[in-house]
Amino acid sequence: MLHHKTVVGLREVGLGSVGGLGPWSGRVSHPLPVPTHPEWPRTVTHQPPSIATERLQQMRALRAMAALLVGVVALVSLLVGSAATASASSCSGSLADGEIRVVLVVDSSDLGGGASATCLVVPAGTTGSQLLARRGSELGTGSPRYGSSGLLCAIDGLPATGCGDRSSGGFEYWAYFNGSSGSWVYGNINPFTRRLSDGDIEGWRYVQGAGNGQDPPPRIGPSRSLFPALAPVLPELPPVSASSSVTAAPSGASAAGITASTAPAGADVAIDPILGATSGGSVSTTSAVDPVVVGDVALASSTSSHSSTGRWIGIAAVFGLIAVMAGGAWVQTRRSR
Amino acid sequence: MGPDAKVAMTAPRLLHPGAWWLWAVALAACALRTTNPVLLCLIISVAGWVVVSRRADVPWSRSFASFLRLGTIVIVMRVAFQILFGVRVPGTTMFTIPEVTLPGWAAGVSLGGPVTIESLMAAVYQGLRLAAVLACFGAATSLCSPYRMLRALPTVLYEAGVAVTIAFTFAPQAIVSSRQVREARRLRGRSDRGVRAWTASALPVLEGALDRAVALAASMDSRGYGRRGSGSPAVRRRSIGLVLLGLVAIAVGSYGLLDPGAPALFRIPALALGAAALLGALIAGGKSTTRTRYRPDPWAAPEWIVSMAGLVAFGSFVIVGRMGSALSPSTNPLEVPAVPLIAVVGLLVGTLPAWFAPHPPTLASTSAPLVVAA
Repeated sequence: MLHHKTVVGLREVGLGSVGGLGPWSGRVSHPLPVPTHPEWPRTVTHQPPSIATERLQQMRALRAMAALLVGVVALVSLLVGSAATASASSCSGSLADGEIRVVLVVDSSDLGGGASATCLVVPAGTTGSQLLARRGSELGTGSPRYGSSGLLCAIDGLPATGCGDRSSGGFEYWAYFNGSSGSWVYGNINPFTRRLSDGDIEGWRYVQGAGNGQDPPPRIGPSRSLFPALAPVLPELPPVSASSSVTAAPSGASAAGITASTAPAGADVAIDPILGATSGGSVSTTSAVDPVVVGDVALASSTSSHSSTGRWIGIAAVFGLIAVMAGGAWVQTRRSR
Repeated sequence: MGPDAKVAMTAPRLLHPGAWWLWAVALAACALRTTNPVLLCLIISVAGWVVVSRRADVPWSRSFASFLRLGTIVIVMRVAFQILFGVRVPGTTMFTIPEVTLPGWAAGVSLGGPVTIESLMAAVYQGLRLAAVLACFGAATSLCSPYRMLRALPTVLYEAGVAVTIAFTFAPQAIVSSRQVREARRLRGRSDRGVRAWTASALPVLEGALDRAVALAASMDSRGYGRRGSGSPAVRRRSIGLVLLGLVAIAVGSYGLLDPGAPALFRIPALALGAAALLGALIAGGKSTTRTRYRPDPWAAPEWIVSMAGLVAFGSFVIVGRMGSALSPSTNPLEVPAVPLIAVVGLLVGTLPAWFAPHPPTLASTSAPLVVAA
């Protein structure tokens, strides 16, 4: 029902804002005060490089390293902790120019999370991982967690720890599927580079398997009926009236059952899952998605509770320590020169 | 401690090389267990502080700076590779480089594409980890004489004498060799800086270092290292087999110990098997040879302090690793790395050698020989 312009969570960061990247490119090769040598073939009175010069070089290397490390810290400080903003069009309404409609199926049944299908309107050219992040921000379930290698570790905060770990049944990981052809096809491509087109159906299922095409697909089939505007009939779910659409949370406030209505327009009774669960049924109409949800979605709140201020204090303390050591080393080399 | 007890804590002498190597390897093991940039920086500065405080005035004691430079190169290369060929990692895109679409069978390999800050940070963290390991290795190389290290090796390793000699002395020899090549270039009036000087001197440096290491191995061989004495061929073959088995098992075991994700079988059991095999070789070979040492390096209180300082630091990292994820801060989503207090304290214990290790003797003092074999 909201039709304003879509800005998906892809935040462009200009190069200017990451000035901390600089130090390692320029600071490593200092021109050293090498004594200029007499021209060949004049008699050369050779002086071996003094210990002072060597120490100076050493200190220069130390300083270059320190500058690099400071640059790293500055980079982290510039970029950590900012959030993207997003707004969205409705999935059942008409599409604006350059927008596409995509269904994302997430099946975390093996983790006790249930399976869900969400229809989202995103700009053309959105990648598979942007779609996941968008779903997390729309449903309020947090952004997906990735490992440093880029492997997807957790969706909706599930699993809470671990990333593609080995287990007795093979690997436990989020398997990626594409259902645009009408049946699930195991995806061996990078969701970050895969660009979506209109009518695509993306699937993720937490599986225990060998990590190949034999791993089981999501339990919700990639049917066209998942698109509410095309077929507003809910799959595999008894219709629930709008007034009782917020069901009791099975495990405290962290989980809520969500349904959408059978109304053809769909969007008018879309319920913000978080608000529905926490404020006792106040139906929010601000949610811009039409979550067509089968089963329960565990809303594990993945927002970390640590204060980053405390961490910064710790980091500052450690770097103060490092500065003291570097100063002490400098004094020592000066003294022994 | 017996006769070692008379070794004074403060008298200038060279510390047992095994103590320095144990300390450095423990610090390197700490670095391998973490990608936390704060802790990695602290490890590098701890190593640097101890080197500056306790290095002797010998050619190879200048190698620490070279290792730091190498570490910087490693970080730059790691980041460059991530930008060019790295797996495309989702997140906040900083810039995009032209992308080459690869055929379907090459799925998973990428050439160009969007570069995210998350992927860059992960690359920096990993490069920094390698740089920290290199700094630890450089610290050990600067702090102790490679020749004394060889002398201190257990008898069983003499079997692998040449390989061990080259492995332990190559880095310090390369430092010495590079200084000589640079001197030679300066004497000829050529520049010793810049890319051209680098490329022109790289080959002579490597060649010279290898030559020196091989010459050292040969001279040690001619002095009886690696000789089995008058043992029968059967005994010798048995002990050689045991040494090989032991070395391979220890190599596997140390990899297992360094990689927290390795199967349990590859950790302590492999190490124990290797130690048992080496002990067997020692017993089997020891019957046939008698070996004496000239002026053996003592293992006294300072040696205990230095090696224990390293082990305490490593222990603190093991504990922190068990407690949570502070050792591997998330880069996706990017988060401010936590600073685990236990690990910081452990690393501070790791700086104790800067005070408790004896000062190295200066060239003026003749009480202890600096270079045992050259």
